[in-house]
Formats: sequence, structure tokens, C-alpha cells
Amino acid sequence: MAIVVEMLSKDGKVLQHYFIPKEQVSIGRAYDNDIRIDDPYVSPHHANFSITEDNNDIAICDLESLNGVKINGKKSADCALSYDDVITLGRTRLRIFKPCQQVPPTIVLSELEENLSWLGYRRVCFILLSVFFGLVGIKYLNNNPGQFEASVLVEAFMRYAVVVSIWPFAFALLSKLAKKDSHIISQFSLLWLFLISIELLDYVQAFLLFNLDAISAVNGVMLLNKSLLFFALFWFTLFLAFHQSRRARNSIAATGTVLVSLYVLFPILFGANDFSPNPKYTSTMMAPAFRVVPTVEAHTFVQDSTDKMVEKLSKARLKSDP
Amino acid sequence: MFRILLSISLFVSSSAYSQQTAQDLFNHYRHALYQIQMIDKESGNKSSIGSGFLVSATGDIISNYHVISDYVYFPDKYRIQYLDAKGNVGNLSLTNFDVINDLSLLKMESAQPNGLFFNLAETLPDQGSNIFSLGNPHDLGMIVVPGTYNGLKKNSFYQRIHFTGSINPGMSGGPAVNASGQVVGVNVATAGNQIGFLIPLPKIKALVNSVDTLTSDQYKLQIEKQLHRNQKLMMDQLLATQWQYTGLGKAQVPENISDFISCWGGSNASEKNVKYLSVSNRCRIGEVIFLNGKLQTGEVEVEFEWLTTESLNRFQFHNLLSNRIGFTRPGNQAGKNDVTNYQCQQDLVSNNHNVTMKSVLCARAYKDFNDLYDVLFIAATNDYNDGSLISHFTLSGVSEASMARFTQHFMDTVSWQ
Repeated sequence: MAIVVEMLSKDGKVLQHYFIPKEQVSIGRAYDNDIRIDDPYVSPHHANFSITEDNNDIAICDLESLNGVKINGKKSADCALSYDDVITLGRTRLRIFKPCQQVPPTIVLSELEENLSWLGYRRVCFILLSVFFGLVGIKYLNNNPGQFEASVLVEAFMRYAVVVSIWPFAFALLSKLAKKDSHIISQFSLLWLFLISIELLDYVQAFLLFNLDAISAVNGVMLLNKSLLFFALFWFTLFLAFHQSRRARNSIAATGTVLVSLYVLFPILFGANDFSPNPKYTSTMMAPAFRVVPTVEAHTFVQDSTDKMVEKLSKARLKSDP
Repeated sequence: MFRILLSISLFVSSSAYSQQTAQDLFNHYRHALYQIQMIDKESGNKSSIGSGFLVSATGDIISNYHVISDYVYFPDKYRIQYLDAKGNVGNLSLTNFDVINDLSLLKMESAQPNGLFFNLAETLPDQGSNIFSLGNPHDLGMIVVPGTYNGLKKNSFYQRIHFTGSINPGMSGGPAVNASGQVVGVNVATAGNQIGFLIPLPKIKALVNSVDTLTSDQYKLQIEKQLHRNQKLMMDQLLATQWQYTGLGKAQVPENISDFISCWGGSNASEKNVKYLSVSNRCRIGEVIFLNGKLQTGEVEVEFEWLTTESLNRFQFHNLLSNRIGFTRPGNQAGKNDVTNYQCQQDLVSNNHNVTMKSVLCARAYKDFNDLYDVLFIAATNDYNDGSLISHFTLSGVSEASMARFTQHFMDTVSWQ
């Protein structure tokens, strides 16, 4: 038979692991002990641990030490120990159990984590960053023709990059604190991927808004798409940062997404009835080559629009009547 | 030399003559002139003032609609009161009004008039005649302003007398009389610098001769009726005349769509460092119907702008276009108690000249009046990569039928040259 002794840190992490192939283990500050503890509060021959005769438990025997033995913070001696008990000698914390103690089941190595390894390559991260930078630059140039100033663009981009970098840095820090790899490169790659997708979705949205007349449907679908993207970002960030159960990860990501969506939707849902003297509409224009739907005839447009607007306005009038 | 002397002497004598007449007129008629006050019932103080004058022995007083509009909208909150030359006050009731021509007919409730009142002239005077405007500017006391009758204002949908003389706030609702003391108009507006506008005689006669006496629950219905009649008249007139066309860039657009709508052109050709050329043609009626302090109507605006570029790529140019048509203001002023929010519809539309436009049509309803809307339209053509025509109009206070008719007509007027 053998006895396993683990030295624990204050928060229960294993500092040192001893496997002693004997039925009795002596612990103390003297050099002739099986396990020597360099702790001034521990007596030279502090205690003995031995497997009981019925071979079931480990018993502790305090060898009249100065500071005694505490089990789970309580002073006691000569009692049977179980795996969960934390034994304190002086200022040293120990766990003592038999080697036949069961370990938790093995976690299946996630294929996903393997598949995501490319996110962690520096050059991937750099390429994604460059793509994002390019997209933002193109947008800037198309919106501000003739006012190109590299310094302004770079400054604006840097400011933006600093703000969005809070996200990967925060999660990298949290995962480091949780004794896991920070995956900082992967976190950044993930963020750039998310931002690139949002930029591309904006182009899709503009294309749809230009071609279709169902403005609120397009905006609704696009908001849904962006929420899904955000959910994905959140989910993968958590996946890289922490070992959680899939369920916990799903629910955290879903809650976060709902909160962010509500934040975006709030003014639309609750500000819609506020009076505005100016009309609100979408005016997206694109070059004729991007026009893919057939046009409607003017009289159809006028008739349909008038009917629809008059119907909505009559409702609005009725609602406003005290 | 002789001619100069002669003209000076003529000027002196005519000026002296009008001075004398003005004094006589004022002294004679000052007791038929009143200050009209809106009294806030809560505080008991006057909240706004104007002028008015007696036109019958039975106590009928003419003033402007805008002087008493608070009462029309809130008959429970305000009452109308007159103040005569001797300092007497008394209550007035509202008999009828003409919101289009800004006139109101009031009646003294108790006090018996002294038999002195203004007669209405038979006809309008000849151009160049001396006429005299009476009123109480800025609450400074009744005054008389001699001036010249310069005919009816040109290019105006609503007939107004062009009066060369000062009309100031507070004189609104006061009479303008000829040398015999007969009313030819009612003070209504000023364009500054000795240019004043008067409501001409026929409109006053029509109101004085109206037999109806309105009750307070009929006021808004009366406004609604008058607005409907007026907008229909205006639309019929606008759409009946053959619109003239002019070239604007590659497009052909209407210009001077009516006599009563004046147009101005503009371009950015003189600006430096612009990446595109903009040529525009803007027209508006420039006269509004006052309904209350926060609501005006009757505006018509029509604008065309041709944008073209050589240095912008098609993405940049169409982003510019999106921004250009992305924000428009209504032509008239309106508050949340009077109108709903705008509702908009948009689509890619082709007109009967095969011009493709991204079109946005918006409308808001008047809360107090049935079937009256403010309409706003803006469109940008989508046929060229490097050029687009923006067409835009606003109408205020028109019916659903007028909205559809005008929009249809307007959209079909644009063509490529």
C-alpha cells in the first residue's frame, strides 16, 4: 500500500505531490522524516499518517507537536481522514489520501480547439487586421472624397483600435487569472474577423436597402444577422478564454447578445412615437450597375404609397385623439 | 429747370394735402378704431394684440384672423376684448373668419356703438393714389400712416394690395382707407422698407356679407372647409397650366410652373476645390396661410438639382447622392399638437420618359382636420454613373387626391434631353 500527500496553496491549488510507497508516513521539520516541511511552525517530528488496520482509511497521529494538527480548521487528532479534508500543520496545508482515489473523468479533447489553432498564428492576425484596416480605409475614402489625409485616417483608426482592443485584452487577462492560456493572438484574430464581417454586412445591407422597398424588413434581418455574429464572437471568446460547460457558455453568450441587442433596439422601440418635424427615411444610392430589381411605374408607386401612408396616418391621428 | 421746380412744387403740395387728409381722417375715425386684445382667462392679462375697425352701426368689427387665432384654437382659454380711443373695454364675440385671407369678423357683445363706422369703398383705387393705413403699432397708440396704393401684388396666388408705406406689428387688422375715408384694404403684412401688404376690398366684402354666425365647435370645421377649397383651387390652377421646361445638365425639368411661384437658380461653379458640379433651380410660393402660432400651411416648393462629377468614382458619387437626399425639411412650420409624424414610402421608380429614380414620398396628417396632409417628395435619378438629377417638392395642407395628382404629374415631368 502507499499514501499520497499533496501540499496545497492557500486557495487549494496543488503545489507539490508526493507518492510514498509505505503504510505509514512521518511528517516534520527534521531531516529523517518521509516528508520534510520547511515551516518554522512545524515541529521536528510533527505527525504520522498511517493506513488503518481494516485498510480503509488513513488515520492521523499527532506526535505531541507544539502547534498541533488541524483538520478543516479544527484542532483534532487521531481521526480518520477522507479525500476532502485539508490538514493544517503549522502554516502548511496538506491533503492526504490513498492512491486508489478516483480522478475526475477525462475531458474529450475539443476538435474545435484544434481547428481554431490557425487563429493563433501571428500572420493570420496581421492579415485580418490589414483587411479590416483596408475596409475602413475604403469606406472613409468613399464617404469623404477629396479630403484624404493619411494622418487623420490613421489617427481615427488607432483611436478605434484602442477602444475595440479592450475586448480581447479583457478576456485574455481573465483567462490568465483562471490559470489558462491567454490566447491573446486568437482573441485579436477573432475580433478582427467579427469587425470585418460587420463591415461586409453593411455593404450587403446597403445593397438590399437600395434595391428593396421593404426597409424595416431589411433592417430587421440585418440586425438579426449582426446579433448572430455578436453571439458567435462572444461564444468563441469564452471558448478560448475559459473551460466552461457548453451549456454555461451558450447561456452567457445568449444573455450578452440579448442585452446588446436590446441596447441597440431600445431607441427604435421606445423613441418611435416621439414627435419629429423632419421625415425619417433611408436614402441609400448605388450606381446603376447594382440595381438588380425591376423598377415600378410611377403611377403604381404614387397610388400604393399614398394608400399605405394615408392608412398609417389615419391610425396615427386616431391614436393621438385624446 | 422749370420741370424740376414744377415737380418739386407738385410734390410739396401733394404731400401737404395728404398730411391734411390724414389728420382729418384720423380725427374723424379714431372712435371707430379699436385695439383687439386676446385675454388669457387664467391670468386676466392680454397675451397678444392687433387692430380692428367698426364696419356697421350694429357693432361688427373687422380684424385679421391671426390676431384672434388663439381664441379659434382655444375658445375656453381665451376671450377677445376691444379697447377704444377713450380707453373703454368690452367683450367681442367671433362671428366668422376667412383663414385663407387672414380676416375675422367680430361683434361687440354689449356696448352700443356711437353710430360712427367705416364704409367699404365701391371699388379699389387707381394705382398711385394716396391711401392711409390706420392701426396701433407695438401698443404705442393709434396712428395713421399715409402711403401709396400700388395695385395688386404681382405673381401672388392670394390677392394682396401692394402698399408703399410702413406697416408694423400691432397694426394688423387695422383698415387702409382712401381719401374719402372708405375702406379699401386691411393691414396684414410687411416686407420691410416701406413695403406693406393689405387684404383687398373684395375679400372684406365677402366676409362682411356672409350670413353665417359660427359657434365655437364649428371653428375647426370652418378652417378645414376653407383649406380644402383653397388647396383644390391651387392644385387645379397649378396642374391646368402648361409647365414650361428648361435644360438642367442632361435632364429636362419644369421651370416657372406657375405665375405665383417664383424661381431662383444657383450653382457651385464659383466654389473652389469642389469635386462635383451642382446646378440647381428652386421655386417656392413664398406665401403661407397662418393657422396658429405653431402651424402654417399653403407652402409649395419645387426644386431640381443636377449633380455631376469627373473626379469622383461611382461609389464616392453615389455616397454623395445618398447624403444629398438623406435629409430634407418640410416647407412649413408645424408642431406636435397639430401634425402627426411623417410616414414615408420609397422605391425604385420609372416614369413615363423611362427615367429611373430612387424615390421617397413622405406625408404627415393634420390632427385637427380631415384629409389634409403635408407632403414631401425627394428623388435621385439612377441612370448614369457620374450624374444624377435630384428632384424635390413639398406641399402643405393638401388632400390625399391632390397629393397623388401632384406627385404623379411631378414625377412624369422629368426627362433626359
